[in-house]
Amino acid sequence: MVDDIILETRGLRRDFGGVQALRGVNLQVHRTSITGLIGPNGSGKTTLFQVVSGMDRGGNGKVLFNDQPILGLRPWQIYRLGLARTFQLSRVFPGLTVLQNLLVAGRPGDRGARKRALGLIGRVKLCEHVNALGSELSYGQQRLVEFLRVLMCNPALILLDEPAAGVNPTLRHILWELVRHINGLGTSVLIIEHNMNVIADLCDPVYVLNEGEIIAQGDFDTVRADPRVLEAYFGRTQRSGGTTS
Amino acid sequence: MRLDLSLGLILVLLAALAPVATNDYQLSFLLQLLLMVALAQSWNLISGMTGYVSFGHAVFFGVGAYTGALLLVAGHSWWAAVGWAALIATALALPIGLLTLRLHGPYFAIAMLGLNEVGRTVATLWVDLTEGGDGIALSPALLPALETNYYATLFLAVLATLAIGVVLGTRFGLELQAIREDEGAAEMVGVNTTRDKVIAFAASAVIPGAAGAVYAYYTSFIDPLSVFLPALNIQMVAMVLLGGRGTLWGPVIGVVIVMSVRELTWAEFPTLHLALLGALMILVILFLPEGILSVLRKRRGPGSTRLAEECRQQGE
Repeated sequence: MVDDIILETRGLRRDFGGVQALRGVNLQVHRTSITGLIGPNGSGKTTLFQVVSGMDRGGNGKVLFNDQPILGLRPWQIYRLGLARTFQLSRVFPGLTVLQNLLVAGRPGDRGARKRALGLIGRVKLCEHVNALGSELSYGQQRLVEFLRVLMCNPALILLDEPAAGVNPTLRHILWELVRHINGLGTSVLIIEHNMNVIADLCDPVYVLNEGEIIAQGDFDTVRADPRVLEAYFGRTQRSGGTTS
Repeated sequence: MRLDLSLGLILVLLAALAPVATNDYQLSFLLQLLLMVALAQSWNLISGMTGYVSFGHAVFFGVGAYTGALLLVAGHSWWAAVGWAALIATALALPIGLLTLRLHGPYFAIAMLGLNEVGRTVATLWVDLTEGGDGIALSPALLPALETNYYATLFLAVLATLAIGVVLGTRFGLELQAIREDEGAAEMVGVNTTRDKVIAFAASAVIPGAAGAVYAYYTSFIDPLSVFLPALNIQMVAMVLLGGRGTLWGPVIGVVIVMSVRELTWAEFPTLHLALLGALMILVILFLPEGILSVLRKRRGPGSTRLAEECRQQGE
């Protein structure tokens, strides 16, 4: 069922001079799934997000969102199509209030934006900070606000780049609950995460990226048992080293 | 909001009554003060709101001054010439904005600084049109009265301040501020940054264009150095930063302080008064980087606001 796929990359490449950060990545995100993207540091996960979200427009290949090619579009155009992302490091607007941070991300002309924003802030129990500046929040709160911000346009797909990194356990719990909640409402999620418990708990399927290539995919247990994945994470094992030499 | 409006109305009323209660010297001073308010608020619209610091906004003032002077000489009425000056400055700002707003930070600032120099050079070398370095002297018979110039300047200052007030309350204003805070993140949440910046930039040239023309009528003589004045660029920046960039009243406060200090000290200390202003600037930047207004603005009371209550109700 082709219609079941909300995001697809075909042969996606990104070169930085001699470095091939993405070498023909084929990846599919199914509608209403929470898809995981894992891989060692420097494997190209964030580059993939940069290219798909339009922040990096140097990619080659095909990116289809709802069957529509989006490679080459500007980030704001992609966002308004319903594909939103968060950043690896919080990029909340420091000089705007929490409410303003959310309002600016709403759809233009949306009369319900204010109500929606207050509802989201209330949901994560940040009401006492609604009028605080972004810079006055703790790092965890900033990450939460950044996440709420992209929910303002009611996106069909969200790319989350290590959303829980640097967030304390309480807020992390709220964050994962919110991910589950919006997913339950029909939003698809593609998530980069290093915590394997979270990946095991939330994601199906899981893609493993290594040196710019997808080396494994499937449910978490399948992927975890894949020898190429073990090799990518832990280096060549004694035994496999022995068989090849 | 209501407080801003009442305060604004009172100030405008006082300013409107000023010609009755002042002599020509005092009225001249007030005219210059209002002129600087108009220019500072225009600069505020692009640089205060988006963080793209323009060091060359005098170029639109200069273009307006020459347009106003030349059209007046050619037989147009003064108010039509002011309108054309605003229009031509804006028309010029559009392509310039499209080109220069691709640059960030210091590159944009320097490009604008260079642009002002280009304006001055063109005005100096295009002798057939501008009479070059000799400048254009306007015959007193053509010129509006001091009071007329004063009211025209007051109108421009009010318009520029009103524009900031309106923009601050809109989504467009929020988008401009988001660009200032983090342009990449703004674009990532649906803000068409290029469009917003170019609109703000073009709009920020309207009033300087008109103000240039009124200034030409007020002084009755312009030459390239007096209207493409590098110091004018610095003044716009300094006054807005002093008061508080991206705010409604910051630029007004900045202008009033700088102009008053200068007026009170220049006769006594012809050279020292500039050093005084410089010292004031340094102190403000060191201790109040958000401008003087940041002291007066009351701290947001976390948790106590009605907004937080509304938020709790929505969150349930």
